[in-house]
Amino acid sequence: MAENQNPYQPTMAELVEVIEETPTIKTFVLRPEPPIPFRAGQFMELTVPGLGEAPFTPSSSPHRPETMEITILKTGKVTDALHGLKAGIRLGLRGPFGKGYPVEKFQGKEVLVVGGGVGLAPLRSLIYALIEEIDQFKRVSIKYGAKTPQELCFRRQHEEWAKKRSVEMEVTIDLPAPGWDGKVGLVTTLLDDLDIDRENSFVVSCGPEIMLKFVTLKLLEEGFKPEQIYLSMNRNMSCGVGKCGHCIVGKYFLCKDGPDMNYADVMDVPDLFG
Amino acid sequence: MKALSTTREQFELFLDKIVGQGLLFANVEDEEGRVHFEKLSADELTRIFLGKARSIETIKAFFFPPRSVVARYPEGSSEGPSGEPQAEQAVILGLRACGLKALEILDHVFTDDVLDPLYQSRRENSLIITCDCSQPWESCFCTEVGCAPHAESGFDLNVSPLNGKLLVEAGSPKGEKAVSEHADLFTEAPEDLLQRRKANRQAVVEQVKKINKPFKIAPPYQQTVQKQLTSESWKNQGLAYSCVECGACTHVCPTCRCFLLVDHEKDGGYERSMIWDVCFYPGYWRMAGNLSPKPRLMDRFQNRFSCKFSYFPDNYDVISCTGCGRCIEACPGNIDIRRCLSELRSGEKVSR
Repeated sequence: MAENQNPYQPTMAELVEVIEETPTIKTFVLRPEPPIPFRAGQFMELTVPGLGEAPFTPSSSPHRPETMEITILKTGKVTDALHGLKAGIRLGLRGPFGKGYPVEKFQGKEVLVVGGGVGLAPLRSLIYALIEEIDQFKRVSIKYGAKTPQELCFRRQHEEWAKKRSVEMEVTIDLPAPGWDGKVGLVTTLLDDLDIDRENSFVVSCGPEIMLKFVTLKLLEEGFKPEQIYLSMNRNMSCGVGKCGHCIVGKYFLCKDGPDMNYADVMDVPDLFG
Repeated sequence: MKALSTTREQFELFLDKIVGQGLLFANVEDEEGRVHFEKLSADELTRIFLGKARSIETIKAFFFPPRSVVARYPEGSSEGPSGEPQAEQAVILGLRACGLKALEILDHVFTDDVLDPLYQSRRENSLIITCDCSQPWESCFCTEVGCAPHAESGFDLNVSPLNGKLLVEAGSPKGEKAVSEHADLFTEAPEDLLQRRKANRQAVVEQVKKINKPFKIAPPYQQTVQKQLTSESWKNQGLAYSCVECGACTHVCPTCRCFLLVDHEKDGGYERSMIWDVCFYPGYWRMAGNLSPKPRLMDRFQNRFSCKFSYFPDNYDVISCTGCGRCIEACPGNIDIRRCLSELRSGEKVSR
């Protein structure tokens, strides 16, 4: 952000398309002018005019900044309003904020991506970024879980990713459901006896905090070190620039030091997962 | 620049000239002997009070108002927050050393890294005249947290009231310019006045130390707070036992700076305001789906201590408490931050 610019001022972007992903999740396609470059994992403050802002990480490719896609679960004041919107109106955007995923650090390594529910949204941006330069990475393994088959996000893309060279994709749902012949069980069950080189890999996880907690415990049990684990943490960021205080986790402001935190940095914070 | 001497009358003339068309905030005393910060007009200079110690109100509300418009959209308006922010010229008289230190702490928040242009503009357009404390309140504990009842640097001008005389010292180019432009109102301070200031200051330091002796608190507070993160003292019947989550402490605190951005319709467009927020409020932490990382009061209560005594030193190399003691006076639950620190330090329950 340029010096002396007002950090609280949104710029307006047209909502060009709304894509229904699941009964409660929609993807909002925005066209900011000029385009807003971002790194996978960085987040935006999205404004519904007059109602307010909420923080979201784009789900689209950082290599295609002309349109920015943001995938949102209907779950509160701002998101309820968003779900009622149709293409054609203008929304406010501020950002990007935060550091984003350290993709450069993953070069030459295996990357394990673990997502839960709508947590696959920020991870999709990362997956696009990884696939764009797939030769830079040894392998990308995606493990994804949702409560029911209906709640699986980006279903049409799962197969597409699975077909890519050096990409593996595994999906599970929490409980058996009619018509579902895939895996059943929490996403942690996909982490049993992983065929991944513990010395040469990184893990990135995004999902509800309770899932992050059990995924982290499972990974540690599986022999990963805290330094290898990146968690996309959630707080209700307001200012986005490390001033308002809402996203403090230990001494870190998730909005500028995260929101994707290395577990080694935050493991000593009491009640990390709420 | 050498320290200068002047009289109360001459000093009022000086103020009249430097305030000009700008704002003046200064300390006044009420009938019950309490000190307040007030906005004064040019004909109220005789009301200015330079005695005792810090005011009940903090000057935070001027630099970081409880509610201020920070943006307009869809189109940024040509003036104001989204154009070129320009705060009014202001003279702040009577800020004590603790208040000055608080501004230095807020400066880190609002001007380090990403600049808050409105805050910066208010800071740049104000002239800070600090004043030595002569009689501390029972809640004062500046000496215990690395501050003092008098400022040695960081001000534009500092005033020390000494037996009918005022000793004035410049601490910045802006302050030097102000006094040199009105040099006829000052004389060079004689050595004995400087000696008297030194003695007075030492005496007030001793008074503050004496007030705080029973609390047995001492730095490093970061270690105290960090070490005790899992201590029983935090649990519900512990330090926060009488906290009613009213937010009084954070509102009167000169360094608490949590805020929230809220939007509303205005004149066919929309306005974004920055409003004070309070980390004791459950709603402060509320996330999507009504989740909260700090559902228990003890966690929110602890956050304020960790923020001030641990996170601030980590991030800005300064503890975010100046020892002004306003939170002690404001708390309806009779919570004394000194007793909290004392209990955390000793691990023993302190009688209340």
